[in-house]
Amino acid sequence: MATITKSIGTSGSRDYSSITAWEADLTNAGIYSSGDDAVGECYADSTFDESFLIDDNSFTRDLDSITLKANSSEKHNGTPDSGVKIVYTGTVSDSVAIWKVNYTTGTYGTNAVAIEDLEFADTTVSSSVNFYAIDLGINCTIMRRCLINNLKHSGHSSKLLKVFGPDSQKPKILNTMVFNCGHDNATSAGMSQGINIANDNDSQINNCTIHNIYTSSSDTYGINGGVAKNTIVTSCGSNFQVTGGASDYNLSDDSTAPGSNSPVKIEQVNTLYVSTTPGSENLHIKSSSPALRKGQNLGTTNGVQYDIDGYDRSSDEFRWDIGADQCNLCSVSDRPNSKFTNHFDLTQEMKHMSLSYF
Amino acid sequence: MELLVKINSVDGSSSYKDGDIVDVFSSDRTSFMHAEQICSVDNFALDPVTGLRTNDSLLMKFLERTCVYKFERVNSNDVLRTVIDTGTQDTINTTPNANGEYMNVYEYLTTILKRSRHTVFGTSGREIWYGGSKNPDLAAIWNDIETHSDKLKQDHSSWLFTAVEKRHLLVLNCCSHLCENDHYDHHCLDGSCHCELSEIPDLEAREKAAGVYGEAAAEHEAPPLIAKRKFQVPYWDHASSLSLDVDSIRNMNMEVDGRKNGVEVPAVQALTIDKVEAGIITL
Repeated sequence: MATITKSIGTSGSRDYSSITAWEADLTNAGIYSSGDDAVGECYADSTFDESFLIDDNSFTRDLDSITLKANSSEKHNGTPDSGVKIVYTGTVSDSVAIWKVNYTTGTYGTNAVAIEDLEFADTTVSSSVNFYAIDLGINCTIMRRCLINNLKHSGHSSKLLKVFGPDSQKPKILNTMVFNCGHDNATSAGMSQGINIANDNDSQINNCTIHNIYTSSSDTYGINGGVAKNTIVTSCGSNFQVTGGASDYNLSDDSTAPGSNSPVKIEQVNTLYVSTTPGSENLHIKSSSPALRKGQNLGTTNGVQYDIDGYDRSSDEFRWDIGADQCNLCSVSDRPNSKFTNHFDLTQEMKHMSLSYF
Repeated sequence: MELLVKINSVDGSSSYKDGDIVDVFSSDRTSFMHAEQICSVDNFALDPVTGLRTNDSLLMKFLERTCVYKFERVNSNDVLRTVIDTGTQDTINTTPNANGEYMNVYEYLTTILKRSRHTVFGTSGREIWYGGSKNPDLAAIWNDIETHSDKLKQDHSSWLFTAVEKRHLLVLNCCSHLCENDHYDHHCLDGSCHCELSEIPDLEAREKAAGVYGEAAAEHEAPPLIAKRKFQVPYWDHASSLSLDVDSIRNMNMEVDGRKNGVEVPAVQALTIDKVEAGIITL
């Protein structure tokens, strides 16, 4: 009944030099016992260039849970290349996700795997396969505060890109950003989809930000299936393909955001984020953003209160923002935020300013 | 390439089996890992006044080799963007361009500079940074490293396996043996042949750590996993040729490093077995 934390990185002083090696050693009876919680803590010594599969093999020691995350001092700050990054330059098989979780929930319990504070990025598939990047399994995984970007398919036009696929998976995706993924074949591109999951109440997308899922010539979706709350989807063709009745408090730049409390569509994306420029993406929301204070308080279940930067939304009185970022320093109008000036909070101040810079 | 091999089998038909190749490390993967560590931001100091990185460092050269774009702030609103490989330039600011791309540079830099491990160069108000990822030119990167540091590529050709990995898994290496008048199936494990040795390309190396999947039940569904790994190293059969002790390998308290040097590096065809071809896995 212990938490067994192992470090993963290439400095030579870690426990394992690759995520794959850590996963393979989860079966080691000399390390793990029944009921233990296994934690793999990644360090940004170098880029992790690998796929992984967490499955029944990983739970051989009857572990209670498995968490793969970034070390707290080396997690990303909501922008690319700022923390632990995972890419893959190997060959991809048809419809087999590069980063995958799939174990028997009837034996090991539901949502026993957590993936936190990692960046999955910069992976291009050029072969003629359906490219699924991430498969979190059916009620297997909670993904928190991850950054997923620049996953590209340059292969055949009849093949799909799904950032999350296949559509049978039922994950919990919380406070995660997905952006700039798609088919980049300029003349004959296939369909691109962002979060493509089962249309089921167990498929939950809470406080996520999805921007620019693209293709040159075919259909594109931001979210297809599941229940979406407090989520922004912009520049993804048909942004929301969500029919779940519980979906609400969502935002998009078309008329597809589901829910009676979802704000009307926004006319210009540049009112929302800090930067959408490729290579300098920053989807933190900015002052006057229509996402500010328009979300619903989703409580603390599964750690949904922690935004993309790890800021605890439940620690103050501000109404939740829509999307992965909570910006309490941002003013809702162009005027200074009266709440901020009345309630100076050093934690918030540090979250949004660089003392060394000034 | 170097390999990590599983010791002892795990219950379950699709789980790891004794001898499975867990992970592989091609020379390119290893070379880039070392280059990233040498050019790590942790090795380059911040200017104590501006809080920015110094221009013209090895870190800057590394980013020019690995990034698509260079960004230079020219005033409070405008950023000059250069595509490094072509020299093409445009200006980015708060007004979206034809592709909808825009940037509030003040807020952007505020976020980036919160982190002490940032890679922003230049001077306050004239910051320089890089972004976007491209396939790295390893030869050019190592030319920069060897020119601007005392590090040599030849000293950075081995993966940095950990002590735990050497105790719990088996570390080996292998390569291609290109032999004159020899047939394809070359079976040299102990370096007794007189063939030319060469590295195994990255994609070919990675195939050695691939899983085995069956047919998907329906189009666009994920195919079922048949076996965690397709290839294995029957180290118990090779122990004599590789001068390894099986008891030591299976003793989790002993570090074993089975890598060989120079002409002693075994042939990949001799070391590894395709479990499907060998009938160990039935599809």
